[in-house]
Amino acid sequence: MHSKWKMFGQLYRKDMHQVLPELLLVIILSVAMNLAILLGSGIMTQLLIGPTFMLFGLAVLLPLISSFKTFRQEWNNKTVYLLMSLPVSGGMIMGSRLLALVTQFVTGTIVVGVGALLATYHIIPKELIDMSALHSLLSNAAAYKYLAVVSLSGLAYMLFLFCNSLFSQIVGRISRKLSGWITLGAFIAVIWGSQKVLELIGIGQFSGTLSENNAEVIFQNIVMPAFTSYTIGYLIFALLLFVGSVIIYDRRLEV
Amino acid sequence: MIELKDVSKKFGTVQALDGINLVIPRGKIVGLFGPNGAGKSTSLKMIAGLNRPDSGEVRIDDKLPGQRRDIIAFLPEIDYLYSWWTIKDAAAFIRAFYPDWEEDKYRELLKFLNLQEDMKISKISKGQRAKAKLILTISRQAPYLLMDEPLSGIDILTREEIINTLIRDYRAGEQTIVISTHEINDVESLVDEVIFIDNGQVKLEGNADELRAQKGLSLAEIMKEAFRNAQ
Repeated sequence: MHSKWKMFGQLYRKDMHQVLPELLLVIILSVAMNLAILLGSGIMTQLLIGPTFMLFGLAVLLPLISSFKTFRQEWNNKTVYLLMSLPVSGGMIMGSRLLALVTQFVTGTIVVGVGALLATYHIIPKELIDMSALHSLLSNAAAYKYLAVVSLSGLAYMLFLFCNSLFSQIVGRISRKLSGWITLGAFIAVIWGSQKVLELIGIGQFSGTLSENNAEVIFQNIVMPAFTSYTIGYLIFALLLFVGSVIIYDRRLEV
Repeated sequence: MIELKDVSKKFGTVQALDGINLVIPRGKIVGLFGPNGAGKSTSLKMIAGLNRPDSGEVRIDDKLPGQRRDIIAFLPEIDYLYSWWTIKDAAAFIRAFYPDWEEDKYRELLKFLNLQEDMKISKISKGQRAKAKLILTISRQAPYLLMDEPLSGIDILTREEIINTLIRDYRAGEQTIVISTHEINDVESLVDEVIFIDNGQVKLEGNADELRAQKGLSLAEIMKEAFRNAQ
């Protein structure tokens, strides 16, 4: 059966293979650091907690680097001939790439996040941990809601960056000269432009006063609406960039 | 039927195609001949939908190339397969996209051309890669098969194998094969129709047998004569 899912599955498998080195790097580093912390002892082991958290930066940055690397590789290795010959629209080609990047980002940040929490729990002296406060935090449904909203905001921004990366590279490829510079220019211009648009319509900004001293009220009334509108704003930008990329891919792109 | 109507294409300052008009009927093996840089590859890429005309239009069975990718099998000159793939991976990928894939033919061709499925693309020789690309292209029952310099850089024995495979598997009357090459001698016996192009324009076209009979020359000699006259 030649279903769209089967086609998408093959593209996704191929795209995951292309981002695998960067994903494995994050996983191996995170596991290695956590093992060193869990199995070791002494001040040097405790000092590793800093780099363990710094791996978050790598888990966020590497998918963006992958998005540029994989696209460039398709052209340099001429595999774009195969992709552009396929009887599918740019939506499927771009969609599988986007999903692979999101998979890379989510997997990397979860591995690093869980590892960092375990390492932190391990090195903090148990007598310093207020178990009742920890228990109350873990059983607080609102805390999970806030975590979900903040995580979704991060994911929305990364989606926006991935779509921007695909869009700017496709725009760059329309020209046979100065392709790299056009890509860079388009990428920066989209970030700058989107920021300006969000500022103009007041999305993602904190409104209200912080006179309230109840953290939950501040989160509920000020932080959450700002994060929610910010998430929606960047999701809309991501969608527009994705649609733009597909249109250019289907109508203008050449090998 | 493939039609190129007054198609022009410029890459920077280079005029790759200059108002070219072509009609390629269904069910024939057509040789697209010309020297390097004549516009052969650009013509094939136009038909495959990988390049777009600056002016004029390309039609395949009255539709745009982008809408007919499902009935075209394109074999580019360059290595377009992912280097980490095995032949089996490549076949699985292509099989997922084309309902006209023939598994039995694929298996038979592997045996005929002496390749194994677990061979990795990056580890095999240029000749083996050419054969692998050929297998992946002709294992489909595509009505239009476009081959860009399929024999370029391939040793004489492998060339013979490739040509024999094409002759063996050609479905006369049903399938159209367009072979672009500047090495005419190799495919002289294969083609029904010929199109000689240079500087992005058609210099001569016609039935291969009729041209040979008319001029009393081989196709390679006819091409040389056509280009001498054009200059």
